[in-house]
Amino acid sequence: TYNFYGKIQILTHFSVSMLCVWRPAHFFMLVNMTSNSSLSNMRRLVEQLKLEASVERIKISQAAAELQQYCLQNASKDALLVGVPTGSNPFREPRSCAVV
Amino acid sequence: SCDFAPSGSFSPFRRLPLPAKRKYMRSPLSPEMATQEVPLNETLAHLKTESETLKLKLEEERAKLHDVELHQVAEKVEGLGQFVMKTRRTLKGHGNKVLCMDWCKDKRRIVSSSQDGKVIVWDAFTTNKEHAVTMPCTWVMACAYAPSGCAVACGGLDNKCSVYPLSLDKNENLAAKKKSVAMHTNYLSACSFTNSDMQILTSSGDGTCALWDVESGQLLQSFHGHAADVLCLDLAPSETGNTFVSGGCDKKANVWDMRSGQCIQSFETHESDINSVRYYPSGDAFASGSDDATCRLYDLRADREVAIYSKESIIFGVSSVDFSLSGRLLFGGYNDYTINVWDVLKGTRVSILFGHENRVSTLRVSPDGTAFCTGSWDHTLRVWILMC
Repeated sequence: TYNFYGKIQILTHFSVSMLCVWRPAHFFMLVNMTSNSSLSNMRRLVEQLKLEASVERIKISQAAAELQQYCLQNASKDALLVGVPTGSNPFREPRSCAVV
Repeated sequence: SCDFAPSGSFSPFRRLPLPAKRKYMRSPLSPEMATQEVPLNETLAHLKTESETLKLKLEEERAKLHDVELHQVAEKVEGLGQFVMKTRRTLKGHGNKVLCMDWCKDKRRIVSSSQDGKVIVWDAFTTNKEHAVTMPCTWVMACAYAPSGCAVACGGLDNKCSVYPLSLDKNENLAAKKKSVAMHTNYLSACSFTNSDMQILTSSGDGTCALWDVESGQLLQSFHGHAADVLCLDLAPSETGNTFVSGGCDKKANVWDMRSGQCIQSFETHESDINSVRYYPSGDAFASGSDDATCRLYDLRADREVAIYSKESIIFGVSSVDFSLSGRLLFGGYNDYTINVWDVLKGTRVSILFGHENRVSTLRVSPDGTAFCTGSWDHTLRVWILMC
């Protein structure tokens, strides 16, 4: 009957849209729709902060020294810093003309 | 890991390579305690206090190691002289604002995308167009070249990332072979192939990043943590392991473990949207560019910001940043139509470049560091080199 067919259509539509919603990328939004969302968000935040607090760190003096060392070691190969021998930078030549 | 991270029960994942040992990580988190029957308000208040305490502790720990500034360490380094950089190629052909570009590994081809939906592949040596495809959407904000050079990926307002295999036959209709890979619920802001043609990493206005299998279109991992649109991402240099950094409208730059989906470090010192992030060539740091008119350098092992690149006279936002090969120079494309070149170690500006007639929207250094390319809202792309 018409009513029965109509219900089937609605059910099919609902299940298809639920399938779309339940993709992992959308899970985040679905979780937020629940009534305990602020609590679970806070729990998540606390766990995240604990993880970030547990990271091992080094002093800036050491980190900076290593960044500097990398720069100096690779400076001679850096064409935008020191330039390269004429002829080895293809962009230096004016663009080649196309033969018509 | 997050309670909503996709697990093996969803669908079988292709195995990702094991990450390199992350030397700065300690043991993983203890499992979450089972929920107890406690009134909602009390638990929420308790958690809030705990999070405030942890944030303070984080700042304290970071401050303890702040024994010197980067530019102080670099005082003894020889200063950089005069820099003259000029445009050597101008790529004309887009009919509207250029939004994104990427270099091919062959150091000569470039893919670019624009507001009118066009994606063009250029030979930057000759300035000839090799391929062109029109996307079914406008504002193609992201494009990337595949490592093999045989395909390009792009997307924007269609909320998708699509891959187009590049045919040797220039007459072949590229759109016919298009493959839809990523599916977000808001615009695609950035995309990048991983170290093979098989996986793509995307970031989106829906606040997430995601890793996809190109062949099947399957979602391999999703990354949740940003509180607003994610605008940019960059993969760590392959030697340093499977991580990437993302920047968003929540002013945060997050570093992610690609295998677990976990955010392992987070930095929030910018005062506005982060439009661009790029790893330092060694992989130990990354730079960011923001609407707050500054570029900043964050060291991953010191776990903090170590330099700010700014001037009172620079008041327009930075749209894109990239390092020169040695990491000594940081190039920033700005919304005031200029490119500022910074001495990364000393924190000073070494050059300002003019040429574009509208905002610079994208900037990438070529794979071998011989040149850099900029794209602009003035519809053109420019390839720049050092004149000496």
